[in-house]
Amino acid sequence: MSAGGGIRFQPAKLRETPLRGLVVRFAFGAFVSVVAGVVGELWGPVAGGVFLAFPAILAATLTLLEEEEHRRDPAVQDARGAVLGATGMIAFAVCAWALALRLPAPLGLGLATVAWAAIAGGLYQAFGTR
Amino acid sequence: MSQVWWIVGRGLLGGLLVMVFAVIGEMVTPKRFAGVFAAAPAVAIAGMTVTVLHEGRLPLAGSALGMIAGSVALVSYCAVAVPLVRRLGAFAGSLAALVVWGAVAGAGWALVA
Repeated sequence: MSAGGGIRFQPAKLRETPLRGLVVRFAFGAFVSVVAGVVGELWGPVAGGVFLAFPAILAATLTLLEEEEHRRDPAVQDARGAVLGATGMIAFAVCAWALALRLPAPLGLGLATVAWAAIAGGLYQAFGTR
Repeated sequence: MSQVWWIVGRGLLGGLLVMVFAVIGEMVTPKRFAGVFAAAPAVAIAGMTVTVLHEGRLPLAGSALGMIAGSVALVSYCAVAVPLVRRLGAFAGSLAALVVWGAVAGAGWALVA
């Protein structure tokens, strides 16, 4: 299945994904979540919120990618895509902040996620293929 | 429910959502588009969901405000990581870029807090 910008969706590729990679990402995700929670408990929600965008998962992903592919270029391409995803995260955070007290939380977080996808996807369409 | 169980729940949900976005990233090409999912707000969705369930939605605005600073730092991190990974390799390059994340996040936190 393919979309604009040369994007292809290939569920069959999942069979080639090493289980170890997913387990490592789960562990890093859990670790960062716990750190953000503990920081929030100790120093307040603003400090905890900073750690919601801690790049440990990205570092793990890049390292795993280099190990799997035995070369640096896929990791570099992944990092370039992550710039777009991270820019979308700013939109997510601004949206969550603006809607936090105005809408029910599930709706606010849902709209913030849509904002992330729209900004990251739009940036990829505009700059990702250059 | 005790505080420890909320932290455990936060960890499990965070890990699960990171894995979900990683699975999506594995299924899409090209690699640069897959990279978008490496910077998905999985930890944020998990953390904010648990915060709302545990403490209500009042701390959510503060959490999101801090995340704006963290996200700006993440963009800086990714931008610096591209040349560093090319030069030093993924592990050393992404580790070195953490200095940039720390500096920008610290400055951002000081500004918003």
